Amino acid sequence: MPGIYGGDEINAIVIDAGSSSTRAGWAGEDQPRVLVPSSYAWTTITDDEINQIEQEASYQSPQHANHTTSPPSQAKVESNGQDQDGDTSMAEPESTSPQEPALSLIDKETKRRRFVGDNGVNLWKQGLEIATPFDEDGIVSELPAFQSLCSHSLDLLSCDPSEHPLLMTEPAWNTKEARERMTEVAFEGLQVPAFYLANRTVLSSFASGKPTSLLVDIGASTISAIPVVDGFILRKGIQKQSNAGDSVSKALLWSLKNGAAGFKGITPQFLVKSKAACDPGTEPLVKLREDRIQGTTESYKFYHSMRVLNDFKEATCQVLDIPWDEGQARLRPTRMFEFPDGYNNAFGLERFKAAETIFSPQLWSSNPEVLSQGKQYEGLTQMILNAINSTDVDSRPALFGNIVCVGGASFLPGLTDRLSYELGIYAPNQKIKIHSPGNTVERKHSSWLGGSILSSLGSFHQLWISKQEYDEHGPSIVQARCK
Amino acid sequence: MTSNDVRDILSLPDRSRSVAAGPSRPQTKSSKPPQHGQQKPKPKYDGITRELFALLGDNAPSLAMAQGLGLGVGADGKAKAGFRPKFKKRPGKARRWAWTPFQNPAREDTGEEGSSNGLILHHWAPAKPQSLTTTTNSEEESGNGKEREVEVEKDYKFAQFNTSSGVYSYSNDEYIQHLRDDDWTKEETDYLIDLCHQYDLRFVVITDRYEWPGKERTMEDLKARYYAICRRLIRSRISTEDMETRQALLVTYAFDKQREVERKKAVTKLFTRTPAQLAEEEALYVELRRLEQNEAKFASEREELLRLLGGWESLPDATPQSVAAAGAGLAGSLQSEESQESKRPQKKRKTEEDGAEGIATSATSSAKGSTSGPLTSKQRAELKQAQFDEAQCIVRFDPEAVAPSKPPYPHLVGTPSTSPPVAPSPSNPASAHGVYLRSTRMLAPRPNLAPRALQTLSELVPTVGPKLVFPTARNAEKWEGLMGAVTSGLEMKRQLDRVESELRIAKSRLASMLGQQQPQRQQSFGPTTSLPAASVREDSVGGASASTPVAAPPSSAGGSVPP
Repeated sequence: MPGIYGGDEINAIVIDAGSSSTRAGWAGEDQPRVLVPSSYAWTTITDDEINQIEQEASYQSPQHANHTTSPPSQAKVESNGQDQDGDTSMAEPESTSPQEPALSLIDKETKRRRFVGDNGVNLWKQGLEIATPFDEDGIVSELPAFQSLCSHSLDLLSCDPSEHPLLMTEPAWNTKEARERMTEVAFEGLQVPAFYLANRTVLSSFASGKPTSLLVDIGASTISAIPVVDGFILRKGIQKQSNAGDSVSKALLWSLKNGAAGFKGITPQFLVKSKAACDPGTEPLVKLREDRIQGTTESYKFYHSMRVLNDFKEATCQVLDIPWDEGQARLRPTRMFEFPDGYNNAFGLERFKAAETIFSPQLWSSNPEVLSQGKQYEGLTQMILNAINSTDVDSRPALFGNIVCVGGASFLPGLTDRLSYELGIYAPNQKIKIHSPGNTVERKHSSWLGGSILSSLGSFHQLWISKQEYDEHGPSIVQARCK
Repeated sequence: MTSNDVRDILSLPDRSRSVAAGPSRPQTKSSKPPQHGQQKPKPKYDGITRELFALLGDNAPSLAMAQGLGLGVGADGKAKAGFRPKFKKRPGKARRWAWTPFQNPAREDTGEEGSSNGLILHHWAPAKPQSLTTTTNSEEESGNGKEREVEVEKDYKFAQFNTSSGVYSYSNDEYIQHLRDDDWTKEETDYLIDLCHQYDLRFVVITDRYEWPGKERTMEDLKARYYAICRRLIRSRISTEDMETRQALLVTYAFDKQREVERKKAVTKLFTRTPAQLAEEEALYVELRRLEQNEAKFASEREELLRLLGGWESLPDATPQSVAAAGAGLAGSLQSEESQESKRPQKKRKTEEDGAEGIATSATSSAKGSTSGPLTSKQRAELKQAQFDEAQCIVRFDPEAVAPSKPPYPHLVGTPSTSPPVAPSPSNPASAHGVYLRSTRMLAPRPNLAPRALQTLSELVPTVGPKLVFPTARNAEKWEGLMGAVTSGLEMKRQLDRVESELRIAKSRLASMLGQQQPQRQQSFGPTTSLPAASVREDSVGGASASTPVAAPPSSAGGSVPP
């Protein structure tokens, strides 16, 4: 008899590519093994260089083929509870190291050479640009880059994708074209034997053990509140906005620029040569690496500034426990933070006001530096209410009782308390229960975890799209199979 | 390690037989019999290593070791296959698991006959039994591993979970004959049925995914259409089931769209209550509870009052609950409960009647019971009542009886226990209305007589206690009679004493007067002398005081004095 939990391992791989970080790992495990930034870096490359690399590749091809079948021994498995940007992975397979670029990392049409993974993005190089394979809604827009991201993750996982079924995740608002393209990447690019495309929202709901829930996902780029009923999302109830974690960081930056004494802009770590201690609120005493200032592109600097801001946000930011009241926020205790260039100060109002991008975006909506203009923004509570009210009246009590709050930015202290406070005001006659996993992995990587659970279930294996089916029906089969 | 062990290892002859054999001495395989009979060698136990056994020292081995677990001891006193530590050996081998390819029959591409183009996945499964038998030639096995891999498992244990909800589908003819609808085209209906298949009749999801150009369908529209199709198909199709099952099936597919819409409207209203409305609702609820409780309290008070005034045992249909319920508008809910309650005593009475057929009944009931003719229902009820009362020692007061204005005994006060408690006497507050103990309502001697009466009672040969021990109606009545007799006897005795002492005084006075003149003549008209009333009264006071020291114990005569 099948076990109680109905598991049946078939050594599937789960890749969950979010807008900020990509997770990959084996199905059935409780945390992703590979965690890399979703962004990639690129430099321009000349035709001569392309030819040279191709020659090298053909010269090394027997060796290279050997290399893929016997996985590189130094591929390091990343540890649990790591920073979202993943700083710890020191060793990477040689195939992706800058010295020996794989052919897949070269884009002949645009004459670009891509660098993916932690080292690719974080090692400073002359003229390195940072880009992301996703558009601002988190939908795959750059296929070659997405493919190299996936194959890089699989390399880190030391596995041959042609031997393992692959489960990928997609946002709830994914377009039909993007789904088909992802299917193509899986079968044509990665050569997987079987593939499935699962909805990230549904997976997060599964990860918290609820087939019916209202899933609130506060990620880096997008906040979404989506009703899930019996394992299906209700498309008419999808509420999504772009005032998520990154907007909070931008709001912090704006507050720093307008008001913080002695603040001279963010200096990312890679520009700092040495720094000296300085008093709070005074100009930093920093020596910059002059050699790097010239070759640094805007996007590279922006990406790394956002990393610094992310640290700043995680260290100080907090959600006020009552609806926004500036007087109250001023009374709250301040927190110290020191930037990489040595600038340090105590932050009080800023750290509360920035978090209000999520709950009262009207405070920031007119500020183009924080929220992109031309869109309507609503507070998180209103989003949840809208999502629930768009469903059938009979499902509403179940949704109110199963609000699941996941995503990296949901770790802002006080967020769930504020949410339950506001929901209690707006929906006084409902029994509201907010479920938000205490475990870091479960909350940050909930969609990966749900994929891991789903693809190790015995009853799920009938849903895989096989290579044969793909060959027969083409990529459109994903529309029929993955509902 | 002892020297014995070393000797054993070096295959030297055992030298230490004569020495006191240590516990660690090995049981050598030498077939030499024990040299001297002075020390019996310890029995050898199977399943325990020598070194471990040596640790026992001089201690006796444990019972489990000596007896063997569940195994008999041999005739020579040796445990046969006795104590075996659990970790020693496991029965059988570890199960082999193999990375096995399988096909899932639940997949569409696999099909019934398991076509070759179905997806083949691998999982770990217990190895097939034939591979277990051929474990010896493991090299060979690895050699022909390729061949083994070809054997793909055809059945998959999770395939059984691939269920469907039994969505109805129809043929083209059926549609034209039965299912046409002005609002729905065939294509749209097909689309709906297709969605029902896809989403297993989850109408919430179906409504969400339903996109048909030019039509806005609510969930009720879709449900109504689908269930109508089901009903029509059930009706029109020829089936072997009988009418009832079919009717039952039809009922399960009943759907009242209008009602559903109304219900959802009501639920929506319920959901959109404002906090103020909620608070009001709460307040109303609290008020309702309060009123209901007040009603209950009022009803119980009313019943109490009625019982006091009317002397009714119980009010026919006015339990506190029912009155409260009537007040709160819940009259119907308690009806059944009440009827049940009223049935129970009736039944009991019936059994009583059956059982107490031969029992002597009270005067009235026996008179009525003896009439052989058909009784009216009232009479029968009275008869039953009387029999029941008899069996339960219940004495009822005659409701028409007027309370006697005077107690039957001259020297007792209070209300007699035989009269109904309607006339409260100010002297006895315990005779008020309501439930009372009969013993508290008996006639009692006047306070000035009470001590003497009780004293008299205690001097009876079987002493009669100061209190009536078992105050049944009859006993209480007798007790009252006894008390009445005692008190009147005592009173009479007192009168007698007084008269006698007056007589004596008068006589002595007369004698003293006659002693001066003619004492003999004076004696003849002593008792007939009528004295002035005033003087008699004066003397009676003196006589009473004089008689107290006398207080002759009135002996048993007091008891026998007739009232």
